[in-house]
Amino acid sequence: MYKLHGIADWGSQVVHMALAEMGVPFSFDTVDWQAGGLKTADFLALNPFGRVPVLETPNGPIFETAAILLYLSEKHGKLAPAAGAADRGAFLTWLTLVTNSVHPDAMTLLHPERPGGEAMSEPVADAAHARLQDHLAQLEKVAASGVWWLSPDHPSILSLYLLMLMRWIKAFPAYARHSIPSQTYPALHAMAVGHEARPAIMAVLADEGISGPAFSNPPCETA
Amino acid sequence: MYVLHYFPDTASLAIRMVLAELGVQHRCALIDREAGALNTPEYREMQPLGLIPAMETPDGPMFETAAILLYLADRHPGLAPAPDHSARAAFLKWLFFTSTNIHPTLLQLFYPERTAGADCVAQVLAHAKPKMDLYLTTLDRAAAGNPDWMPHDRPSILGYYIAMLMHWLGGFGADHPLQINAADYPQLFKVLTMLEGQHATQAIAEDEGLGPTPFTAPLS
Repeated sequence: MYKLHGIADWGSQVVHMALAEMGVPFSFDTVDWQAGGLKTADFLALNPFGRVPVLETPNGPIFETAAILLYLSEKHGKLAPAAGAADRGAFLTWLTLVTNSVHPDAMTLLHPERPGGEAMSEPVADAAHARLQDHLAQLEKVAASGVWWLSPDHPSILSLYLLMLMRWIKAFPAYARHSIPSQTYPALHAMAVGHEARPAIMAVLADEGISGPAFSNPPCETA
Repeated sequence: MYVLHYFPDTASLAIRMVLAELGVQHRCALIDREAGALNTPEYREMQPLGLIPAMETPDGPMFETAAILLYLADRHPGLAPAPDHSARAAFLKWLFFTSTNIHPTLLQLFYPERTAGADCVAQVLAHAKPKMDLYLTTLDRAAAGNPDWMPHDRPSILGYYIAMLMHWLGGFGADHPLQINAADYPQLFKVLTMLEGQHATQAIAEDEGLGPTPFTAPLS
């Protein structure tokens, strides 16, 4: 039995969706971050950096989004090409790029003060926005090539991960001019529309208090 | 047959050492960077971002250091916990932690202008250095007890990845404000010392001109 420590509409969302799509039993523990829940001794014992998601597993607690997702896909043989499959190498390549480049740049778009302080927020966000556009254009090419793991009808840990980040990039950038609509990338947009219609994903989104399209061009909430 | 496209003392280093350690058949193709080889259509076909490394595999081209290391570890068992091993969870956690936190923060220390231009260099360095110290301290604590995900008595892919990063972090020079000394991280130091005794390390360090102690006391 897994226990996912997360926060509605935060980075735990992709793990929440992956667990639901795999159909494995789990419980969801909402971390009360406003009451300091990320900094308690109990939580820091799970993740010394005080971040969600954390997944408690029979093999101990795991943090790092891509690590949790790969672990689940290997344990249950779902949502990723298996080790030995011909597309495993390409899949790992793009999963790694998403987790070490697209994810941090999306976070920087939302919190541009973090890499260099408040005074540097604007140029920092501009640079992250430019990199995101480069990387999303590459991912669009991969999706358009027809791989199942970035397709409308067959979710993977990578498609779920990327869609969560595309939601952030569209809905929550610190500067509204950096909001990137999913339609900019037609294959990725089709993937967003397809995934939103899946019952398991709809249930997770409802559970996290999200109504309306979550991934296909959600409204920008930046003032 | 693997073909690793490499350049000395870049991120291809960890993969080169792992290929040598595994003893699998491969070829290393030197990238002619000065002649613009990273921008040729052939290279961009393998690595669309024009970065080093790229590796040709029987399953097509790959890039991203952690992805290539994980792919090799799974195809040639022995340098990482297998998917059914109880240490697999911790291995994946620290491998991706290295790829998403330590490695990008290292790049900020070496190329601070990339974050937001030349005007922001001082601020970026001021934020990145304490982050790196925290990351290494936390990893060092986690690595106590000779864990299967990065043991200090035998080589591992994560050990080689960390060794490459410590090789760079320790090469700023003793008086440089960004210098990081491997000896300050006792668990990591054990891993680095053991890896420096490996034939694979010595052979690649010799070929790339990195000196006899590239991890614990790199040339600056």
